[in-house]
Amino acid sequence: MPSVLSASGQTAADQTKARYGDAVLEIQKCATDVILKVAPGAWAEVHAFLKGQGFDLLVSICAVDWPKENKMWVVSHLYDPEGRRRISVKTESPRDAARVDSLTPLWAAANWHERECFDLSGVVFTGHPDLRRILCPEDWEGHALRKDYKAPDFYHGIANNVNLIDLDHRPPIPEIV
Amino acid sequence: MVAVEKDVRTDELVINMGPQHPSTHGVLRVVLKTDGEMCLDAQPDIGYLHRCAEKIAENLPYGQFVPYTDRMDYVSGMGCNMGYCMAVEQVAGIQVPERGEWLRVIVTELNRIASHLLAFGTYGLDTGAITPFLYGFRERELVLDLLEMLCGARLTYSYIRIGGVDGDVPPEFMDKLKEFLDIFPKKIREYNKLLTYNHIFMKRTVGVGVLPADVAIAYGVTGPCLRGSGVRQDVRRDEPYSVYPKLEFDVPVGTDEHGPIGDAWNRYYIRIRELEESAKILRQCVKMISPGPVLAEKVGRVKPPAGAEAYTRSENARGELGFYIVSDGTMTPARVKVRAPSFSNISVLPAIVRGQMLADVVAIIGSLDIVLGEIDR
Repeated sequence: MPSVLSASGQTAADQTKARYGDAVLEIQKCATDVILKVAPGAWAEVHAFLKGQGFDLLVSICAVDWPKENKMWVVSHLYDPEGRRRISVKTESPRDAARVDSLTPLWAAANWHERECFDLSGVVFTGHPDLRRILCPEDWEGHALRKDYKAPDFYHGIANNVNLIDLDHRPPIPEIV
Repeated sequence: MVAVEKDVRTDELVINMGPQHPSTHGVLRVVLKTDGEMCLDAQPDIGYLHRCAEKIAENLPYGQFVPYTDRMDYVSGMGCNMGYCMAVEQVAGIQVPERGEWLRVIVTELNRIASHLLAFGTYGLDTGAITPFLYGFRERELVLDLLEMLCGARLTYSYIRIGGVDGDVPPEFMDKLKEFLDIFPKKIREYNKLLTYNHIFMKRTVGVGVLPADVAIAYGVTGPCLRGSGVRQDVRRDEPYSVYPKLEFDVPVGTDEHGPIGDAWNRYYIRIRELEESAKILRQCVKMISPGPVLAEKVGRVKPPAGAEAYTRSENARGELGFYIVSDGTMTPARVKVRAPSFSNISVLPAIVRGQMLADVVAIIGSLDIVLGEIDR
């Protein structure tokens, strides 16, 4: 099963490499996908090219945090419903400047996936029309999927940890504005 | 009917629907912008059930995350168990024994039936038909009894484990399953008589919330919602995993028999037809399953090699469920990303609600069949 899957995107990966040359840093392989490792600047261009090749479905966008190496991966998974091919695109940037171009002009689906990625991993998508938090409240601090994230003890007076709940000294219930 | 000639002045009004609303299928909030009876915009607001399961996964050994996957799509937990276990098996290179694969397909298809029956029942409720809900739950009860025989749980199973399934089926399970499969086709005909071709129900759903195929693909919609728009896409057929290559089944798609392709009725009817297909798959499984081990030997504590990564897709009741796992060579994963089908499916709501009647918003949300547990994770 794995070999068949990962082979399906090979041709498209080679074509992208031929077209973009040095912007495609490496063609990696994992158990299920061919992974195109691209320079952060080429992120949107490579996706536009792949979409033109038939990869119509943007399956997911996510980020992986590597604090030791001071790196943040942004990974997307694409699928071609006609040719039943799959491919993955990956880019790497420093943790405090994790920033790529938004894919919203290409896929409407990118809107929510990028908002989720921004909310949980703190990656900034340049050109996104509405880059707000999507799962956490708007005034939440920090990005939960960063490895150095510490959950706050209290959020608006609500204890986040059962050991912090002091029934004898309850904070006043905040007034609803 | 007499046409009203007089101009009625209307203002735009913003209405808040949810998060506690019986027809949002959980804690979904929708901000509706209306003009009279017309709905101009609907912005879903999600996150009320957010538990950050992906962060929990990073702090647990691989095997211990299985019960958390049940709590994502809690209506078809088996599918989530399976998607996660398949991804771990890919990064760690674990081979599942054949009987384990057959049992996985049996339980996920049973769970798909249970999930679609719930969708059928609640969709009836959304559109004002109370009785079909009870009929749907009658058969769902039989399915849940079957699953309870396997693992003792009726909703959050954790029956599928890394390397196979938790244990072999009890001896009487297969007979009970055959009994269920014998009576089930008759029940599906009953559902069709009760709800599918009911005149009032069709008036409420045919031509409502039309989702064109290109819009569906642009928004990443998958599963019955995409097939309702006429796109024949099913991971079980396109990238067959487990023992699906050995099984024969059809992938039903929406038709223009009663109204436009991609309307709420088509999305609903795809689920009814998938009940038949799941029953067909189960009948083949009962015939083809052979004795053997159900769990790979010496799985123990999983420790995949550093840098291993895999993205596995599986067809859950709501669409393509993806798990992306990256390993850093330790006992806990470096990253687990869940690609939840409902997340993309509900994001298309603004695009199909625009210009519809306010009363149809509930019918449209219901036809998307979302589970907030997996949207918010």
